[in-house]
Amino acid sequence: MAQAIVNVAEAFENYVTLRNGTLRTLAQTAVSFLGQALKGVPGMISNAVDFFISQLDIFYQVIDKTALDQKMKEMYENLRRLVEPYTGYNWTNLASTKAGLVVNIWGSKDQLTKGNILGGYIREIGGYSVNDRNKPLFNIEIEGANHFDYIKNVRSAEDWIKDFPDQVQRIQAQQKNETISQFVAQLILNSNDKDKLRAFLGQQIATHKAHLDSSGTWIVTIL
Amino acid sequence: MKRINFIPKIMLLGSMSMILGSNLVCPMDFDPALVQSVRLVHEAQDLEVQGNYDAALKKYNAALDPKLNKYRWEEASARGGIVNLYIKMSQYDKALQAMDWFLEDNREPTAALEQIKGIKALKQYQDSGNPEPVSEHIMLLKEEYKKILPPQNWIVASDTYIFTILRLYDKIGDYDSAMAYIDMCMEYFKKQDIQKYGKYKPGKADQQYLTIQEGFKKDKAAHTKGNATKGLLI
Repeated sequence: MAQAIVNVAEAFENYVTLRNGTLRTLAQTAVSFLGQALKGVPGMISNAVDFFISQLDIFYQVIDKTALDQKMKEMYENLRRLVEPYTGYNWTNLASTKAGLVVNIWGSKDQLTKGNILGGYIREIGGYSVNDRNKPLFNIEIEGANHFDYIKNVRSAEDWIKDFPDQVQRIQAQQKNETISQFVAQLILNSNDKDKLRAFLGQQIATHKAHLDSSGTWIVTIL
Repeated sequence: MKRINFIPKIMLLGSMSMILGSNLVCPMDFDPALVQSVRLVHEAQDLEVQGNYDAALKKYNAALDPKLNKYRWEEASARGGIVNLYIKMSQYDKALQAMDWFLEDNREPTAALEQIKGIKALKQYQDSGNPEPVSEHIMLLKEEYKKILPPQNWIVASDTYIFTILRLYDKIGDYDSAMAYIDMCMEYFKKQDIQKYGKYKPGKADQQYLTIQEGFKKDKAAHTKGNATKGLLI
């Protein structure tokens, strides 16, 4: 199993490096999850693989539609071939069989969401929709969040100084990252069930940390 | 180590999927205090839907341990859960007291005030036996959210308001209105499915509505009330 995971990680890296840095982060996602799995957390391996495959599956569909890169298709197939024997899971139609819901999160200051090229509001994807009661898609925008705020940034002190030479700006950026990443973590932890996620978001509306806009997007304002 | 069993059931899209660079942690490296707090809330919710309110209350309160919550908003799920528990137990004074937290540090407490209005209507009904204030609140909710409620629309947030309306009907024992409302929602779902798929495609969500419907039928037959929606998280 461990060797298979290493193979997957390597295959993933090799293919993704053929594309730009954006896709490379996808590979790093996989490697990060797999790395975590290899640390020996019981029961986490298949979950980790499931998780990044589910992400890949969605990107595969998007990329397939826009015909951005044939290599992504190959990468997907290779990954599936490598992982399937170890998990016994049929990946063919993951979107319709596995996930109970889809959560689409983005930050209002994330440059990658501009023009909805990557991220931003989605009405329907992979069979999930904002109007589908049985395959719901939740859209959540976090006010003020940029591309690097979703997850706690653990860059070194030197890197922080390099990116934010001004001390005040650095502290603000660190606090913003800390706050937003903690909210996203709580959001993810509440995303295992449609009703629990809806209840979680409803309570945030009651505190006015979130509100619904006319498209049905939860706009979160925690800063 | 307890398995965190949420990963396979969700897919995260958009920019969230693109954020894991080499200098970032993966989302499994959650703050252990946060994980513990959310787990307690989930356990409380599970107990709540089973009708085990005392045990649920203990769990919600345990989730409010200051050591488990770094930011104020992290408490919202547990605090909201407590409000809902008191409503389910018809302890409206305690529910109103628990709502105070939602008014503090709240620049625009519209949603919280709306909820308080609903609880006060229930309290009035409890004190006087007159269901009118509750019926009026139901009408207000239907009007306020008509753009996201059947027969006009349904979005992922709609269930919050639909379930709130059904709970209010449940509390005053207005079975017929509740069942008619569910029928109307189901009819809307069927129409939507036929438009989209060419046929009605019932799923888990439909089953949830039918279970509530069944609860109202049983309550009506037994001349009881308050049971149809006790399994709902709002």
